[in-house]
Amino acid sequence: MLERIHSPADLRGLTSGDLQVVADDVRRRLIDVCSRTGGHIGAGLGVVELTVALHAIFETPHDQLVWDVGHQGYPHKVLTGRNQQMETIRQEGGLSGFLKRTESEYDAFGAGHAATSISAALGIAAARDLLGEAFKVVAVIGDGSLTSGLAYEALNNAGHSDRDIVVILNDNEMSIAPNVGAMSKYLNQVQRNPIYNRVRARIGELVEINRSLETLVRKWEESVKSFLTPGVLFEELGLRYFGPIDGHDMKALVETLSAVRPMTGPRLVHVVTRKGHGFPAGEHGEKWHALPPGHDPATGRQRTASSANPAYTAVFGRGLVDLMTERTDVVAITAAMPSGTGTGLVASAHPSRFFDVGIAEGHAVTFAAGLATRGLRPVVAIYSTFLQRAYDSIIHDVALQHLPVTFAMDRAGVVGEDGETHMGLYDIPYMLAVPNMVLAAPKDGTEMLALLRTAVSHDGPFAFRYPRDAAPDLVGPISEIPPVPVGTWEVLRQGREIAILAVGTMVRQAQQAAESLAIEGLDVTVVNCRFLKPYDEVTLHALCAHHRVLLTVEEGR
Amino acid sequence: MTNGFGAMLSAAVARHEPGVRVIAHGVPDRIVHAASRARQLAACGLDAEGIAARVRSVHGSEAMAR
Repeated sequence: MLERIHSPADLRGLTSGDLQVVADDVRRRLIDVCSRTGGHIGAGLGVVELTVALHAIFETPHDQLVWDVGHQGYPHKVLTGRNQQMETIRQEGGLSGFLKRTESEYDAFGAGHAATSISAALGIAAARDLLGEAFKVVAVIGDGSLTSGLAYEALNNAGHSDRDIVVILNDNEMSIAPNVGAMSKYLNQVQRNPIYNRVRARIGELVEINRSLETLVRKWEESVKSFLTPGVLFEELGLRYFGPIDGHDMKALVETLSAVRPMTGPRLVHVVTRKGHGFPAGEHGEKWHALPPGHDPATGRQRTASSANPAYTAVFGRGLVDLMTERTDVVAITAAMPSGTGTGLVASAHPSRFFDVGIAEGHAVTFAAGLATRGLRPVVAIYSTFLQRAYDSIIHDVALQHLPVTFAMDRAGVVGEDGETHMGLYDIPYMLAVPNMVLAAPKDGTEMLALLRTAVSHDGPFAFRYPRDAAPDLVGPISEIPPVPVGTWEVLRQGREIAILAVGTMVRQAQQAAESLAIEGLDVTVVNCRFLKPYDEVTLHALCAHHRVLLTVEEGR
Repeated sequence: MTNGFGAMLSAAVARHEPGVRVIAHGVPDRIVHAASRARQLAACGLDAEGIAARVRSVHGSEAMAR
């Protein structure tokens, strides 16, 4: 069936039964592709039926479909003319793993970081109204993104705007890790409330009696409201609430979306899906959020084992657990990425001192600042790219108050297959600009733990950056690793005329470069500039006395 | 290179040691697209080979300036 779908227009007019056949084909195709090439599979499998139904009912690309976090976009890519290129996903010159305006006219808005879709969709709707155009705008947002403040800012703005906009809440009870917080509990309650379910059963009877969908929807709303409004929160924000509906029931999706599309005003459809639906290993949670290449689709097991040293992330997680055993004032904070940052190890070892605050980087940092005012030593582990979202909290709440918060910036530098939305290229300039901030970068895993130890004893904000890579060394226990004096460099090789001032990951590369240059008769100095700020003035002065050129090398800009 | 470590040091050295040149080598001011990390680093001249090449060219131009 899928081979007959060249664009979403081919879906329109098909029966729910036929659309389900297409969905089954899309799911098979995704499992096949992702088991070979790797990629973010869980989120995509959960929204296969939803994606098919959205493209069947809404007239994309004229109607604007805005996805949140590109992970959900794989089925969308398969259906929008990119099926033949799916094998190239997340590879050089291939399809992006995320959504991208330059890749397809069906990608109304780029998405890599969470919780942007409602804001972008509302902007598109406002532009439509201002320019006197006519089309529908749909924003899809995962319940994981409802742990992010940006989504509420957008809902608050959209709710009473009278704009014609549809928000699809894709509720899979997961972001990457299981969701945390009150909103997650609230949505579960909505789903499981027995009164609500009785009402839903009654509405099933009403469908038989009354075939008009408009009437159905109105009666649904009235009936539900007379007992309890499941979406009261969204209703209070000014959005008409529909649902929850089963995101794997094509008939229900088609009926609901067909009824909702012609209406006007801000409205929200609550769709319940299962992340990784249809992939045995895919429904198991965080581990199957994304697959590295070479997986058996039947079991989800990796076919080949990796022989590299442990990743910086793993070294950091283990070191932090041990440091927290030694230092009971240290607490760990993650923004919905316990596994991705290695802090998941802390969750089991020191549960009372571990905080997963959801996809809420700004909140994570200000929350850490609060902890620090009472004498605790928070370590905030966030990817360089995501910490961009917390910049005001870093300056206003941490740095200006000189609070001792440690920023462990994972995935600093180039990050490989995730592409431009996830590059950790900006943390050096953005941290250098912050008053009171110490900024450091280790040359290897051992030095990273030394910097971690230094950071939690430093009287002020302290950030260090490390890459998405295996550590080049085998790292011993942190109990045997002493701190590093703040603001010191390390001259690793003494040469003449030219000195390479290398930062972090570039230290080893510079040493190798120096070795090959030495063979050519060019004798250069190599310095490990582990502190970017404050820099080592004594060493810099000495270098200036004996060299004519200093070549700084950093994995960033 | 825009506002990183190289830019900061360059300003500091220019202030205190005007006879010393600072050359900043890092990720250029353009979008880095998806590829393996190794390929991305090589494309930016941020592997051993790229750094060695930059040193050679700096040394060549310095020798010329002498």
